[in-house]
Amino acid sequence: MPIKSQPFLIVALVALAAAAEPALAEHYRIQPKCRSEARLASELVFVRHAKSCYRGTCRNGQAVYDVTAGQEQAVRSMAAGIDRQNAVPEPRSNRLLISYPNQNDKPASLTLAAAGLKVIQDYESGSFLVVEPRDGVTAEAIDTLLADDAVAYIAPDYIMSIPTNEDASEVLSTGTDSVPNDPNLNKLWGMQNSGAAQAWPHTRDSANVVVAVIDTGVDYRHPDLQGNMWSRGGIHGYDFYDNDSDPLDEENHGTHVAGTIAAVGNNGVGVVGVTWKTQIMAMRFLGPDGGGSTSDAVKCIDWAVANGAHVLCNSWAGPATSPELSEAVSRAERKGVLFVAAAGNTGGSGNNNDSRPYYPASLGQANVISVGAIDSNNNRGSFSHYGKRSVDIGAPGVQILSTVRNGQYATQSGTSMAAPHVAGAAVLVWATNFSTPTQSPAQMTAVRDLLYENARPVPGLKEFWGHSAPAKVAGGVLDLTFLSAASPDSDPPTTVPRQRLVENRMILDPARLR
Amino acid sequence: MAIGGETTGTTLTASRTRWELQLLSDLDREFADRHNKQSIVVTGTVRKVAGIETEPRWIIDVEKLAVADAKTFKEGTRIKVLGKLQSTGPQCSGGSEMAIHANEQVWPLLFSSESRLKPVAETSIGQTVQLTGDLETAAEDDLCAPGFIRVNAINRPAALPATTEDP
Repeated sequence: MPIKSQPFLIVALVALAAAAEPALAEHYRIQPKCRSEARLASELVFVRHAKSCYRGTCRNGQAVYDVTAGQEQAVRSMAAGIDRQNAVPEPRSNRLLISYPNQNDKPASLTLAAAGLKVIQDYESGSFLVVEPRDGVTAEAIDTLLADDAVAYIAPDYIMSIPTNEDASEVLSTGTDSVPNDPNLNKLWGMQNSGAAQAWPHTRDSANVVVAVIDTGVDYRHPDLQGNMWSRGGIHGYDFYDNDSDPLDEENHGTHVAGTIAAVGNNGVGVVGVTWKTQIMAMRFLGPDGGGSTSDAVKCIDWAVANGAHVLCNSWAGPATSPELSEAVSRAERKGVLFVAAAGNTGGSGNNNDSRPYYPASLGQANVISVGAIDSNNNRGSFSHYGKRSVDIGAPGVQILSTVRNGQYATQSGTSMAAPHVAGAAVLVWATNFSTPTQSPAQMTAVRDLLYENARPVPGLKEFWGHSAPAKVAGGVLDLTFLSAASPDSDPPTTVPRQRLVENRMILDPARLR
Repeated sequence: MAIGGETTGTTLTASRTRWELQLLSDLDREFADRHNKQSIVVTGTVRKVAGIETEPRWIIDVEKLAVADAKTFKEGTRIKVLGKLQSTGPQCSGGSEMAIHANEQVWPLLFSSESRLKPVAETSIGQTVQLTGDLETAAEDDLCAPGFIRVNAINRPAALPATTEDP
C-alpha cells in the first residue's frame, strides 16, 4: 500500500561510504527483499538481517544502529557520506511511522505493546501512527509488527529538509517556514489574532531564552512540552508548594499556560505555542486546589530569577498583596526580568482593578505587564478584569486550546490564558532582537516597549486598559505582526547551509552478516 | 493567591468544606491576620460563585468574627436558609427526599428519626420557609455539595406557630 505523502517531508539521504570502505560496499547486497520486507523501509530491513537495534536518525542525518560485535565494519559504510562541512545538526528522532489500511483496520494495541512501542499520535488523515520505542527498535519488534496484517508499512520518522539549490543558504526548518504541522493549529485562534502566525515565517524559535511558568507546576513529560523544558541536572524547576525539586503539575493550569507559551512547534503533535522552541522553567507554588501562599510565590520569583529566567509568566492573583511580593518583583526588575501577570477573573462583568486592585497585576513596577483577556471578536472577555491605569494590554483568553496533564489537551478561558500569549510573545521578541539574550534591564525594557508600541488598537477596548505608561496604546491588544518586517537594528536570523541531499541506502549481503 | 485571581484571599475549612471569607472591614482583616490557622466562629451570609478557571466557590460575606471557645468548640457549620421547600428524589447518600431551594442553590434536607419536624416540612412543600440546621458533609462522590442540612428548626410565616423546633 503506498504511503500517503506528508507535506513538507523530504527524505534526507546519506551517501554510500564508497570513499571510506569501497571494498566492503561491493560485497554487500540485499536481494531481493522478501515479501514481508516490502512493508519495511530499508533501514528496518537492515535491522532484521543484522539482528541489530535501530536507534534513530540523528547526528548529521545518519541512521544509528547498535550492532553485534564483528559487524561494526559492515555498518560503518552507513556513517559516512554526508559532506561534513555542510552537515546540519538535527534533533534526534527514533520514532517510527506505521501506516494502516483504513480507520477500521489499525494495528492492535497488543501488537504495539509487544513491540515495545508507545503511540504518540494517530494521524487519521494520513492513516498512520506515530510511535516511539521504549528503547531501540529490534529485529524481534519488527517481526512482531509484521505479524499484524493491519501494519501496512513501517518507516523511520525521518528528519527532513529540502534543498532547492546546493549553494543556497537559508534558514533551516523541519517543516515549511510558514505553517507548522501541528494538527490542531486551526483551533488556535489566538495565534492568528496575536500575529504570531504571521511572524512565524520570519521568526519562531527562542532557544536561548528562558521563561518561567510560576503556577501549579508543569507536566514536563507532555509530548508537546518535553522538548521545550528547561533542564539543569535533570530538574525542570522547583516546587515550593511541596518543597522539593519536582514541579510536576497536579492541577492542569500550569501545563495549559506552558503550552500557550511554547508547545513544541512543527512536531506533528497537538498544538503549537507562540514560540516553537524555548526553555520553559516550571515553578510550582499553587497546589491541587489552585491556591498558594504569597511567601511561596516570592520564593518562586527569586528562584527563577536566580536561575536565569528572562520572562516570568504569572497567571495567578489575589486581592491583597504584601511588601515581600512587591520587593520580589522589584528584585526581578533590577535584574532585567520581565514580569507578565494575568489581570484576574470575576464572573459576571469582571472587576475594575483601578478601584479594587488585584496583585501582582496591579503592582506598579516597570517590568510588570498586566494582561486582560479578549475573545475571538476582539471583545473583552466578560470575566476579564480591566483598568485604564492598572491593566496594560489585552490578549486572547477565551476558549484557548492548550496542553494539560497526561498528554492531553483542553480548552480553557481566563486571563490566565491571555498572560501566556504575552509571555510567549516577549520570549520571541527577545530572541529575535538579541542574538545573546541576557538578564538585562536594557534588553528587558526594549522587549517590553516593542510589545507596547506595536499593540493593535481596538476602539471597543479603549475604555478598559492601556492608558498608563509604559503602556502606549489605549485599548491595545497583542500584535506580533511587526516581527514579519525586517528590523534594521536586529541581528539577522541565524542561517545554516542547506543539507545536501544524499542517498540513504546501504547495500548488504545478509549472508555476510550475523 | 489563586489561579486567575479567583479568591477572596482568606479561607476557612469547616465540615470538610473550604469556605472563602469576604472580609468587609479593616477590623475583620486584622482579626483574620491575628488568628491565622486558629479556630474561630464566623457568622455571615453564604453564596455560591461560579468559577471561571476554578470550581464553583463558596463565599461567606462575613458579618461577625469571634474566637472559638476552646472548651466548647466543636467544628461544624450551622446554617439558616430562607427558601422554598420541595420534595425531591433521593439525591444524597443520606437518602434525603426533601430540599430547600434558595438563590439557585438546592440544599437537601435530613431529619432525625424522632424528629417532629419532618411532618411539618412535608405539609409545607411548595411554601417559603426559614429553616435552621447543621451542615453535614456528603461523601466525596455524592451530589450534595457542599452537604445536606440536618434540620433542627423550621419557621413558617403562616398560620402555624412561628417556630417549630426539635427538643
